[in-house]
Amino acid sequence: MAQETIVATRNLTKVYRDFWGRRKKTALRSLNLEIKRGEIFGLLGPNGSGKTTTIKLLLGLLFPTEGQAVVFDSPATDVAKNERIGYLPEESYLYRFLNAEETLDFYGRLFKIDPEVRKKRAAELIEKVGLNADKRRILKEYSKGMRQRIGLAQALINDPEFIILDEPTSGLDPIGTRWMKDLIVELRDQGKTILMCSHRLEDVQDVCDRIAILYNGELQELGSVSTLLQDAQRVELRAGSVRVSDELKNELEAVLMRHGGKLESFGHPTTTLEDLFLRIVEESKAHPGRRYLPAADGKVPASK
Amino acid sequence: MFDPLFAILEIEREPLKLAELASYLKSWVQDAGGFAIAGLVLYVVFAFRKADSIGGSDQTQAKTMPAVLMLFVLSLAAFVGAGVFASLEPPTPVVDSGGGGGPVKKVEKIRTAEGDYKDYCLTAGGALAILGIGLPFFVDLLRVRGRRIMAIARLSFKEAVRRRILWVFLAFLLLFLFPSKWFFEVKKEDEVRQTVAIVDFAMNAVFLVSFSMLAALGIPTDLKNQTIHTVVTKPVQRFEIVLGRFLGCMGLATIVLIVLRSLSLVLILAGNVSPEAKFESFQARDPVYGELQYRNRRGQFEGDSVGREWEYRRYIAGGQGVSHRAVFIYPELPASLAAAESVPVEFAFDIFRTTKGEEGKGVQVSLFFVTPDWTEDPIKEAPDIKKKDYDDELRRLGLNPNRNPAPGDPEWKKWNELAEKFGYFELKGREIADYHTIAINVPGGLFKYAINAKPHASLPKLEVRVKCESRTQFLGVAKRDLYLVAGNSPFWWNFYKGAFGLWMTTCLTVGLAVTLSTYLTGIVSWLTSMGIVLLGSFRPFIREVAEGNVVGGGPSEAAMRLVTNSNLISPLDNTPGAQVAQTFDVGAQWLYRRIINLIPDVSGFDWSNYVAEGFNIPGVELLLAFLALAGYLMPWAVLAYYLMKSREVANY
Repeated sequence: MAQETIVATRNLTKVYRDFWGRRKKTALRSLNLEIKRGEIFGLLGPNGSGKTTTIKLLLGLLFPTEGQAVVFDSPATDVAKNERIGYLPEESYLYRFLNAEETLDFYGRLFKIDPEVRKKRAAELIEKVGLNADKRRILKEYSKGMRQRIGLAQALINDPEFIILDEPTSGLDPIGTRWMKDLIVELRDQGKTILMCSHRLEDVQDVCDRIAILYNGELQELGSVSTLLQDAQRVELRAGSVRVSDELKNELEAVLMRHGGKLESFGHPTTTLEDLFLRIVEESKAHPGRRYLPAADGKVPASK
Repeated sequence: MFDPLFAILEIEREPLKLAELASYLKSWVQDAGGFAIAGLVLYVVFAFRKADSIGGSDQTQAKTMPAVLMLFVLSLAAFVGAGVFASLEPPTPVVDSGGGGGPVKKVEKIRTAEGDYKDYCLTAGGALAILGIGLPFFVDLLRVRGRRIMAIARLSFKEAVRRRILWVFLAFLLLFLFPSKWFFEVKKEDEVRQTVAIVDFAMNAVFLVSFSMLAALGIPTDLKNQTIHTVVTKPVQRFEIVLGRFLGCMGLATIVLIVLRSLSLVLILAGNVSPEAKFESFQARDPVYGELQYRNRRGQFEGDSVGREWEYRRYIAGGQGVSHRAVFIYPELPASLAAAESVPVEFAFDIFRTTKGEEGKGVQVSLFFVTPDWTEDPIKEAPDIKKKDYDDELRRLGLNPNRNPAPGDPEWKKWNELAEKFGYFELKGREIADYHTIAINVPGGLFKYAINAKPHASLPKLEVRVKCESRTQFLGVAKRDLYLVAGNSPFWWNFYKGAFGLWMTTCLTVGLAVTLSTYLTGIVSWLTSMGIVLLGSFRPFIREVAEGNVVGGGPSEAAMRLVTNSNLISPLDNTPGAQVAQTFDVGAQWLYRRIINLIPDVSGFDWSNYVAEGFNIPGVELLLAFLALAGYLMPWAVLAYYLMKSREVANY
């Protein structure tokens, strides 16, 4: 059975005009894409490529110049569909004179949620985003990362089916970034559909099932991450419990030559800086005051 | 306002009347209909232009479009019909007031069938246009939910409370709440009046500035900070944001108003009000006003002019043999007066002296309370026979007609019986002072007689005839200078009722500010809303200019007179320059007549003088003023709906 389409755009075009109606910039040209239920869809592109414009058109913040944006089978300007949507803007544009509890209470009241459920859900979300200790502080006093966390909480207050995240890891430190990415995957696993846009490619690569790459307002690529990133010309081989030696290298080269290939690189793989950082932080948490150092031979200890 | 005159209301225009509600409604439909048809033209043009015109071609627009188009065509046809009938109407004759610069006065229009048809067409066209432009608004209104509006109102309330700017304004206002006699010397009788006037003035100013600022900055700040993105991406109708902002601001204004008003009342009470002030202002009289006529031997006349610029009062000449009378006519009387033992009657007149008069003596007036059975003569207070009987009875009872008894006096019962028997009461030679309220007691028997008397088709229930007895002196009399006091309400309640007027003015300003802020920036919205309200304070004058009733001509002619140093009355020389100025004024008047309905009647919400002078504010007037406010704000609300809906809240 085909998956249900949550979002569909048909020739979606947006031209920004000045006060007198003169064309200022074409931000999006004839975008056609579909997002299916239960997937994490990434919009990729450099600054000014039309990612945020697409999101704003889907949310009804902007009106299309041509074409159509349909969300849950309703036009994007139909506010009723918002009952099933959660949105985290790029910057956490929240009311800074409210504290975390008041913020979630305010946004919760905008949905048809039973007051008891609203209160319970707000408390759970505050707990989930790790702001329990700071829930009575006004947002003006929050760091950017904290604001991003409460921003995410407000996006989830209605337990949405479809979540739109605009640069969700912006302003977050590596721990926050990892937490956010884990949460996005967790939400997908709960059956929610997620549209995220980012120019942090590694974030998109880590979590997205499918991506669309935009450039200058036009769709350049669309497909699943694994397919798009697959290099069919090369073979990668990883092995454990083997010592690196010239003998091994020679033998591998011989095998590859027999099959018409050529060894391009040989040695220990490197981990990512993100992994290293997270391990250091975790180690520091476990053993406060102890300095975390690479092994004596200069090699990085393997991750768990 | 810092120079109060006396405990008499000076109202230059008639208050709104419940009986004329239907005509007010018709007038509103015609005026609002004019704006609605202009709005409909724009709506239709934009709707056919592009998909991203009105709310991104939303479902409401799609569903209602056929009905809107039909209403548009029908209203257009009705307005065209009105135009046709207007062209068939005989022209209104005009008469020049005489002086070249004087106002051109139109004589009253003759009612014609064409005029009636034009009126019907205008009303029908207006109603259809309102329905047309309002249809998408009303359809979307069904989707509005109180829960969301209240959430936004609470947010707006918290925002206003946590922004310290409001408290700075209110701290400044506190200074004005204390009784004025604590700061400077005030005549005893003026102390409450003065304080009320200052408190109302200061509260009005501070409320208008602060709350309109809060209202004007709300939505633009949301747009600037992009906080609105997290709101409109929830299931929130755009108009709910407008309503929420308005209600939040007004909720706070209401609380602050009640608190400050109460504080002011406590301070007035703490100031030990003098007996003189208590009599003048520290009450809430329920006055019963009559219609005023000036009469002389030849019948009705306009009253004399003594050359004062402000023609609020006209004058009657004084003297024993002079036939001038100021007559207050009561076609009907409140039934409650029949049961009263005595009815207080209060009056205060302006005295214009042509000579010094007698040294040490004020001006004397006589008052004659006449019922229709007593006399039908418009001037003569009594037929000779009846007067003789009355005087004989007066002598027999030992009563002095020059002395006004009080209800507790031993002879009061006799006065009552006498008045009830003859349906007549007189008080002769009462000395009055300029601008001072005098209270007299009229026997309740007179009212019992008047109310129970056989109805006369052409005669009123009661006439109060005022005669000035002092030779060479003139008495200035206006409609509200004499009244029967039908009851008295507590001052504190009237004080709060007066605050309702202030609340309505705040409501008006906040409504305007919120509407304008849906399209303009915060500061521009604030200044524009303040400007409209300030213009509203001069609306009566603007109307006079629009109708060409201002002495000295329109703006260009007045400027020309200033430059050429000519007086207001004499006609301008027939120069090309003068002709250009007068032609320009005709155009300006046409323009003013078009925009006059955009300007609110702010003075209609001001009851400060009622409270300051000690008059009860009629509940009906408050209700009608509230309806007028709602009628004025309704088209603005529709405008706010369209502006908010059609704007993209995100920028490039």
